[in-house]
Amino acid sequence: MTPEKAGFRFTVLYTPATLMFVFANALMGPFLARADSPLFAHYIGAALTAFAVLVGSFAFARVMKDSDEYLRKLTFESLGVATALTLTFTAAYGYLMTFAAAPHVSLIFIVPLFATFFALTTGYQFATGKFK
Amino acid sequence: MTPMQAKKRYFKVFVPSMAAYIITIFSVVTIIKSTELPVWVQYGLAIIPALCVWLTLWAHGRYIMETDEYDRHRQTQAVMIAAAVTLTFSTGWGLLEMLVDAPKFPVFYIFVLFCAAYSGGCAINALRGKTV
Repeated sequence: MTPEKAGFRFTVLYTPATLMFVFANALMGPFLARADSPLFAHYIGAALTAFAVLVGSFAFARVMKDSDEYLRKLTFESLGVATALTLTFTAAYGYLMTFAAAPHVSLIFIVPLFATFFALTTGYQFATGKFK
Repeated sequence: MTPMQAKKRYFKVFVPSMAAYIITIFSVVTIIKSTELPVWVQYGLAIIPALCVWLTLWAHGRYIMETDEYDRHRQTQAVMIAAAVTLTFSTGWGLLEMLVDAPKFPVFYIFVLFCAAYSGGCAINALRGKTV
């Protein structure tokens, strides 16, 4: 499969997953935060968001399988750096929360944090001319 | 570089950094709980174990880049499984925390969860007859 086709297949899967994530958080969040919203709606909202992340992860796995060696290496570099930075940040902040009484941060912010690190590392690859 | 040499180089960093992690965790907890330190010193101390986590992850990344194609592919699969499980869990549980008052999940356990999921990814590879 050509890298272009792999990229297209990735976009076709990743875009709806991102939209589902944003929909479940931004649109359903205020509704679910209301006191009179039914309990099952909360679980559905949580399941939809988690499912969106799972689909996004699957899209990443598929693009790495479909694309060529070079793109696979670049994607894994970005993924590895983003994962390492996210885990280091959560470890550091976790200790601050436990030992230095830092305010509690919800786990929901870990995915946006990971996505930010991933975007930054991919942007760095673009800036240094690795991506054409 | 042969896979064996890459593994040796990995363990040369992994073992000391994990030992340092255990030592610093116990030391930092003891110091913070037993003395009245300014908040900024507590923050500084709490970050030290996270640096050991970063060193471990850096060594793992280097190992994946240095080993041969086959090992790299398997390691990549295991890391992707771990990242998918960690991100999906953190999103789902984060929403439950916010909406259904689920118990607060300590953020520093995210690294532990990632390591457990990574072991699961390696086990899946092993069960499929492909060693990591």
